[in-house]
Amino acid sequence: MNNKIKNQSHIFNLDPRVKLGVMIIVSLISLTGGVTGNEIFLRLLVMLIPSLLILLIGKHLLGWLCIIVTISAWYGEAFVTFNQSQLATLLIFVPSGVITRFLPSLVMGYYLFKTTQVEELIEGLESLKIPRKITIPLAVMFRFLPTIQSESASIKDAMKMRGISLRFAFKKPLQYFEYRVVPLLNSIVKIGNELTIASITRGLNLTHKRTSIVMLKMRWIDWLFISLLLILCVTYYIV
Amino acid sequence: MIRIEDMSFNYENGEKVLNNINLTINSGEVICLTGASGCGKTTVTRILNGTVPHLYHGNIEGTVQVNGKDIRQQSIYEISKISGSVFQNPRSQFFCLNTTSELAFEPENYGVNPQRIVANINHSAEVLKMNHLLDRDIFNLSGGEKQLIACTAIQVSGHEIIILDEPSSNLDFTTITKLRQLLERWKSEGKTIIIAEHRLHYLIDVVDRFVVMKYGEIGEIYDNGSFNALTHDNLTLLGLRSIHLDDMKPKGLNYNNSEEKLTLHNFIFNYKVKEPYALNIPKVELTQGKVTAIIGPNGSGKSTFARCLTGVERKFKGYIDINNRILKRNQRLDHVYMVFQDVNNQLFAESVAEELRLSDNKLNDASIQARLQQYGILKYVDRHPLSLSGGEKQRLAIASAVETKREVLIFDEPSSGLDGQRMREISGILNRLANQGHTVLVITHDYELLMACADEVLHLEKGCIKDQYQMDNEHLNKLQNFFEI
Repeated sequence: MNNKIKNQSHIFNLDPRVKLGVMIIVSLISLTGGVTGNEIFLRLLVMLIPSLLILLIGKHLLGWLCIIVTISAWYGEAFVTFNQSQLATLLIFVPSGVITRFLPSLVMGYYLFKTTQVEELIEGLESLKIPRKITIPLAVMFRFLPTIQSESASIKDAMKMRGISLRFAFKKPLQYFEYRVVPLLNSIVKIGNELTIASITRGLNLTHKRTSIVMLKMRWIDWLFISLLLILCVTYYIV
Repeated sequence: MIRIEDMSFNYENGEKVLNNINLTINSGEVICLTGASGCGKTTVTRILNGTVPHLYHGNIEGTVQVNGKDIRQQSIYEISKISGSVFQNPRSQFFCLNTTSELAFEPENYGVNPQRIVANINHSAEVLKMNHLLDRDIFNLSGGEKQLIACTAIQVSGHEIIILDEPSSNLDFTTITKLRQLLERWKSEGKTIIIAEHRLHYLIDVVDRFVVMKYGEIGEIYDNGSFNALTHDNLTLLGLRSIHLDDMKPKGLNYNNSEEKLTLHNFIFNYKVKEPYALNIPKVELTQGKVTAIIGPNGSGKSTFARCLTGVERKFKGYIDINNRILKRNQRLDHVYMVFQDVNNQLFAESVAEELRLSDNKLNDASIQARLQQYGILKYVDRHPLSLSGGEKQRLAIASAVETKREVLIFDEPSSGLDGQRMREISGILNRLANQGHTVLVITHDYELLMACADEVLHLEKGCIKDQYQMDNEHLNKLQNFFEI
């Protein structure tokens, strides 16, 4: 029960469309952002948004950790210079750069997975007129991640029992990899097939009109959030 | 009404699976298709729900009509409007991750008005008493609960024809009882039901006609009365499972009178610190060289018990004492072996022979051949393990378990989805292993398997031992109480 996905009615759980918008803006700004001038302060603000969202849904430890890491990486990237040693500067600059460029998107992805029911995401995408050829594979991907996890865990147990251990992995890495992956692929393909068949006998298709019991409504907090973010984004690129 | 006339079918690879089938099913009738594995009953259900030939390709000859319309001229979308299907594997028949969304999935696809869908879901959950299963995460449900959700989905959509393919193979006894009540309800509502099934005891009061299939043909059709009159021996000859569990007797004493004990200490474990103990057994003794069946409702700690015993659970601190020999976690990895319910996940090698060599790399060709001969899979010695059929894979998994020569062998639901004959074969194998000195533990919900092989019973509930007894006539009623027979 612990990893139950947050209910959509949670006050700080944003509309899936807003989440996707945030994802795009945050990734864009953190990935392409500069490291000099006044714009870096705006960039920091944008980069902290995903961590703040995580705080708001009650993941305090992880949220604060992300905030601290992001701020220190941002600081390291923009301000730390050692005049006497180029190398030391680089050693700080490069990892900080990698973190500021990728961590915010990763954190946002985590938030998206933790707070979005697949059905809501799909309904959100369909209301944006995204074709079903894209939404169905996306739904399947969400459906499959936990399945892969549980199958993989069961294969790991089986390997332990057969004495295929890490020592074996060092001696015969290729074979170890094969043992790990072939049964996993086999069971994923099998489950995938059965899942397809079950879904199609439940009327899943590309052409007929579909309804949904999910009601998505933009609340004031969604509008507020997306407008603030858009203003931030526009100012960032104008400044 | 369903009309099948002179129907034959072969899959694309040329394998002929059905031959000259003639069967008429009236509206409101309940039909059970049964017979040995590979007799073609699953293929019949696939033809009726349209997955053959639309998804599993092949060539159908003859006539198959549902309500006067040829099934081959319709898409699965149209067929599924009338017929609803429940499949064997509860793991792989849900598209959504949330139960309520799953119940809504089918009517949504057919464009039903959302308010009506919600009303239907609430009403169905109400009449089937499934309210506690609404709005749950699919991955937190037991196999039985998943199967009940699949059945509730049928109720929500209100299909006229219901097709079930071995729905009970992963279910415990309480869920099977619920499934029977569901079938009775559907029957009273006048639905047409077709069930392909091995387990027959729960169907005997519901089904109108039993169709026994053999090698892709219809062997014999019994009406309820004449099937009910079949004796135990008749059924065994047909390779079927029992229909009356109440007059089954325990198998009697084992040949070996082993009294050596194996003591488990400190089997206390929880997955998360704040949760109650998943397992709480300070001390228990098991008899060596016997088959001990582990029973208990879902979530009673059976699988946790097995995981801890094998030593794959890192945080677990308990130990085993075999005649003052202490086995800690790491040592147990070399002394205990478990055969999974889904053996696909424990076959690794590139060929059947290699698979055995993985268990013991000192094996020579002659002993490998002897072992494969014993398990009836010698002719596949060079095949890839995953290319074998389900039953052959299971026997290979057991053979490789035996080759590890470990003292304790655990079997998780070895008889799920097996027909009568293969179930009896497995119970024979388990008994033989015990006689050779292995301590055999069987986790099972299958009363017939239990009767055929168990010497002792360990009954778990909420992680604790509820009862432990010998399997004999004296203790039979305890077991019958648990299985509600």
